[in-house]
Amino acid sequence: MKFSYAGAGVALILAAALAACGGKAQFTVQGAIAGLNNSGLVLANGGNTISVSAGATGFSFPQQIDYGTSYNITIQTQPAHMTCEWRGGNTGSAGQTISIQAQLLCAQNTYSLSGRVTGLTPAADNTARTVTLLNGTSGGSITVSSDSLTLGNGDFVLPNVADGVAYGVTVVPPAKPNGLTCTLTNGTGVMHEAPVSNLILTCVPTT
Amino acid sequence: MKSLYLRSGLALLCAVILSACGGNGSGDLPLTGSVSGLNKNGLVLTNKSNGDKVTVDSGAAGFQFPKLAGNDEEFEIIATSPAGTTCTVTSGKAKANVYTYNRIAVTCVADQHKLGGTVTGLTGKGLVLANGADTAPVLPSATPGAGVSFLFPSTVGDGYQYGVTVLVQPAGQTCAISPSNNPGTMGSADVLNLAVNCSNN
Repeated sequence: MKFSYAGAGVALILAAALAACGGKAQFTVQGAIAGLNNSGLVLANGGNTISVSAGATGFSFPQQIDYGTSYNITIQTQPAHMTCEWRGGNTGSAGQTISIQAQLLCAQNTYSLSGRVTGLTPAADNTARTVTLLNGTSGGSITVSSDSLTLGNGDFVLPNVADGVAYGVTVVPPAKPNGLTCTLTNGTGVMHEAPVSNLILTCVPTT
Repeated sequence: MKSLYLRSGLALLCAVILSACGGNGSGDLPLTGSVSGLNKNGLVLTNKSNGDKVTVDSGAAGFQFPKLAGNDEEFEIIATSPAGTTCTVTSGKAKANVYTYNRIAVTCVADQHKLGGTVTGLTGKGLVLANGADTAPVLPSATPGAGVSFLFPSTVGDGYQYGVTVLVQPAGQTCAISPSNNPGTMGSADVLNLAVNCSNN
């Protein structure tokens, strides 16, 4: 009993102390940003908007909101060449947590790099023949097999490339010559705001 | 007779129960963990406490030791890295329990080597070479006809592939890269002998 009296007393004092602060507590609508490398991001909370510059690691709206006021921060305009996503905390009611702390994660847009292959036929004994395409050391690779093609023709897709980044695809010859010589055209460029699908891999019998 | 059966049965039961209590490899915790960055075969992980070994191959994301560890059994995992790669173990030494048996992490980093070469016949401006996303602009030499060396900004790890292409041709010229060592796989030393030859259009 003694304990519960003490507890109630403390609670009462705390409540009194808080009430003495006067008025409703004010909250800043704010958050943290990761990966924002480009300009153009505009965030909105209801009718309020703010522009966030490239390199920012956080944002806050100039208008504070009262305790209990709901907020809903949205992305009005994505930054150039990037897509940002909420990782939590962008909606709620002021006072649910000690402070408002939304989390925004931004990443450069990526686009697919693809093309067509012709002449990649199975060997005479009907075993599959393959060719590997490599986008440099860090861009990944794809091995195309005659097994997955129709009449030696088909499509291939390399791992996505980020907007603004160079790609340079080379044909990696098989460890053991397989009787085909494959060449690639349109294998080099810089990714820019749209998927690239004009790579052409042409295989002909080795002469 | 009946009591003899009963007793031998009990003795057997006791033996089974006791053998389940511990000793090497008789527990129920599979020592497991994650592997990242491994690009070569032949990583060997050893549990120094009981000599248990597991071999991990290129590209693996995880491993599991063959022997099961008993609760509170000490383990200490050490890595023997493949040539050209350095693998380190974190959370590898502990007493086995439900919190520790699957927290072992092995991080591998390949030795890094430079990638470059020489451009011959270059007179036009604007040549850019690319190893995928990594680009190297090359300007003609001030001395007409002299070869120009180039180096990619990023290094390439031992055992990793590279493939260099001409991203931008120089003005009035067409350059080609010798296929003798391109594309290729980085070995245990720098590759500085890529050969690019340019000729006038």
